[in-house]
Amino acid sequence: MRPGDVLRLSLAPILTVGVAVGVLMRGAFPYGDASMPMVTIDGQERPEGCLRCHGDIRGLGAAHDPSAMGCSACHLGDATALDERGAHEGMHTIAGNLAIAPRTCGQQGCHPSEATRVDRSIMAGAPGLLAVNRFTFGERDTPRTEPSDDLRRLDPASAPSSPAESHVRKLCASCHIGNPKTEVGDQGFASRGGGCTACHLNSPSLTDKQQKGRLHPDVTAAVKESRCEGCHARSGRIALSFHGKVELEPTDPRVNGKLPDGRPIGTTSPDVHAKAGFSCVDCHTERGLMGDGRVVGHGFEAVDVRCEDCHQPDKVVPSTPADAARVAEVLRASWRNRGGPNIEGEPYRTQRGTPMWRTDRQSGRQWLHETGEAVEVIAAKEAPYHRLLGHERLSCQACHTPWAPRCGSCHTQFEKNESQFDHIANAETPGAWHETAGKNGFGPPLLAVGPRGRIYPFVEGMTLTIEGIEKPVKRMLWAPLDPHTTAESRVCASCHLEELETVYPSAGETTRVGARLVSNEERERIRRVGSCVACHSKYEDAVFVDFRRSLERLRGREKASATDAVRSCEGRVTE
Amino acid sequence: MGDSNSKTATPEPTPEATPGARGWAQRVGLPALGALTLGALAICVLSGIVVATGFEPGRPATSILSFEVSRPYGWFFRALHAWSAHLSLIGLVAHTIEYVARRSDRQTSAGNWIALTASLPVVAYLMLGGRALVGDTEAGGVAAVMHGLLSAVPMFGPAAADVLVGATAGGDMHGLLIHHVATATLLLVAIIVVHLKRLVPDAIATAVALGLAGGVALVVRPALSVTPMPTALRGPWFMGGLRLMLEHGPAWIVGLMLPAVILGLLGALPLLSEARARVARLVLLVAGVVYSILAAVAGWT
Repeated sequence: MRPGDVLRLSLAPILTVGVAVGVLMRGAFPYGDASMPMVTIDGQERPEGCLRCHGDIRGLGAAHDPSAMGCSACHLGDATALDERGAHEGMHTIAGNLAIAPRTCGQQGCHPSEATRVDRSIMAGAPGLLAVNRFTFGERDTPRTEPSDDLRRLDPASAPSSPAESHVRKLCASCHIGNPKTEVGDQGFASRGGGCTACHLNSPSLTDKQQKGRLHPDVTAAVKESRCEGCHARSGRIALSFHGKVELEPTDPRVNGKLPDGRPIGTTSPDVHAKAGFSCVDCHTERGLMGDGRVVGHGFEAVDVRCEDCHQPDKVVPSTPADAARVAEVLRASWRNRGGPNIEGEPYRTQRGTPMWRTDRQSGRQWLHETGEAVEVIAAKEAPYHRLLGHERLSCQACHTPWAPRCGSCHTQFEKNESQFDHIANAETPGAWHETAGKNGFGPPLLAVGPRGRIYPFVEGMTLTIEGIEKPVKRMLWAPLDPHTTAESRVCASCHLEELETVYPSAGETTRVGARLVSNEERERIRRVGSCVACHSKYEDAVFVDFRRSLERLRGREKASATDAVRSCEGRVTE
Repeated sequence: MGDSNSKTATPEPTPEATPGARGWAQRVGLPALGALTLGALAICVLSGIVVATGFEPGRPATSILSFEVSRPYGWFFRALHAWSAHLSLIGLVAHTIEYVARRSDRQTSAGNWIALTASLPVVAYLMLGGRALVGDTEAGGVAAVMHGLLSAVPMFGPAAADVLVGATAGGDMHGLLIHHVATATLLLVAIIVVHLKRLVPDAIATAVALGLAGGVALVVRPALSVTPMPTALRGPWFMGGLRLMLEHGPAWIVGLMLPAVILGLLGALPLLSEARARVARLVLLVAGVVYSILAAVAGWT
């Protein structure tokens, strides 16, 4: 017998016995004897092994109930694996991050339209922010948005290509939802980035907290205002202003509180909508927030709703895009499932035809998102002040914004020997930016010509100096802002009788293409009206029905130039 | 599939049967490749019968998972079925390469040689069909590729695809199941009987095959992954070369003509003159090496 034959003959029993022993050692049910849980999605039954270990998860609402849809539909991984390591292979704990969203929230059968749109939205890539920053730093001659202006196109592995890019990466990029969220759970006011999760994550409900089991944050279409606050309490600070909160200097005697991040605040009059119980998504439609698929640079281009959509409901609106109608129906159904009142009437529609699905045009009511209460939608008054000739270019916000956050100066210093967290690289990198705000406060906004050609509120955006870089910057920039402080209209005198430079700045630049400061000729016209407002203080005064004709009559009577004629009139009244 | 250990040795001279000409596997103390392949096939068929008792063609992946989790030793029988099938395939291919490399085609009757050649596409169909029957995410892709390739055959291709794979690739599994457990398996057994003139495998070779396949089954669970949104479908390892070729060439050439030419060349070896057979062997060996490289690249990427 050859040695090979011995091996061959002995190998067989050794292997057979070895396998038998191995099988017996692993046992009849090595994966536990619990049966394989099943879920049914879109009519298809699917094994969901995740629930063998995570079946006690609580906190998610009916829309994402794990007992109905499992875990792997959102978190991926392998629901058919029978061991922990295999099951977690390819899993994404934070399923809403935009990089993974096409395979999770945005997969076919779930929310593909929304994921596609939000990926192109300004919240994802912040194109306008990047463009304006490059303009501010003098790296560009215009704030016009270029295709390269997208935070997601910045290379995390490379050092910033310019001071503007460095500034954005270190101070601004964390908010933008294309930035991945890295910590699980609800970080509240400190929450940043996270794609779909940025808005649609809610704390588990109280009912769920009372049940036994591990808690998972809720994921819902019912986006609470607290989700918006973390980011929108900065920069334009609309989330603060809406509720009458203003950021102040620490030494300001009006300080009466602090934000969760430690900034000192005071209080003043809130927006009328806030007083009525509105929250952000009571006005802002899903298409305005997640975009409608167009790539735009700035909020004014993205926002879908305008004041007129509710307050001038008789205006003609375009037909509703099919996808918007579908989403509105889904949202109404979701609202009913959460216990909201049944709304069946024709809704108000935005300028782009998006249904504001929680409204009923016939009864003129709107149901508020957070409280479920019905409020009356108030139509704009058919009063003379809304038809005054010469005011055609005024936006609603120009008159109905009594105050806006004002920041008199901003000093930005770059320290190349320090280090700071880079929100694109997600790591501490060399160089640090330090901002020193000055004169934080609030007051009536400035007025200038907005990017759409209408007179609009503007604020400092910013009056700044940037030092520590090769070409230091010192410039005065004005930015259009809807401060979300809607109230009764400003009085005529606040625009026509004040020192014009304090209302209509003449020096500086604007931060939007198409926007500009009021010209000298326009300023002169405003001043002329102001001369009359001193005596003709009521808007219903016959002088203002058609001010141009009133002025011509005065010129004819006085046989003088417009300016002299007004001056002589002033004098006569004064005497 | 030749077998030197059989007391009823085939009258055809094979590498194992030729005195002094020990096969590759035998040189390292293993049973002959042919015997090992037949043993693995026997284990595959027997374990397949056990697996089939828990298989539901209407809910394939789910029923397999339930079989693994809830049936006593179901996990082992499923794994044993899968890995013994892989061992059969590897053994058959190695056995064929050994025959070609050692010019055994010259010592075998044409009928016997053609039977060996014919077993290759049947085993390929059984392997691919078995993967498709798992009914997971990847299985749908495998069934679609099978259906697409068969449909590319002119004239009767689409009809044959419907019969052999099912009209809805990856959907209705009844037809595929019947062919997997009955038609194709019986056809393979018939081919083996023609090739070996025997049916019962060698006990030692079968025990070794059980040791090899069972050993792997103890530690590696065969693929089954119902992933809602897979990043990529790679297919089983033996399909890797085909996948790469299909990515870069028309299906009817790389998926049909090329395999048909290779098989035709292999089957025709005993009929060719020695000079032509030498060239043909070289072509076949190069093709085998190239496919192996492609499969390795596909597995790596």
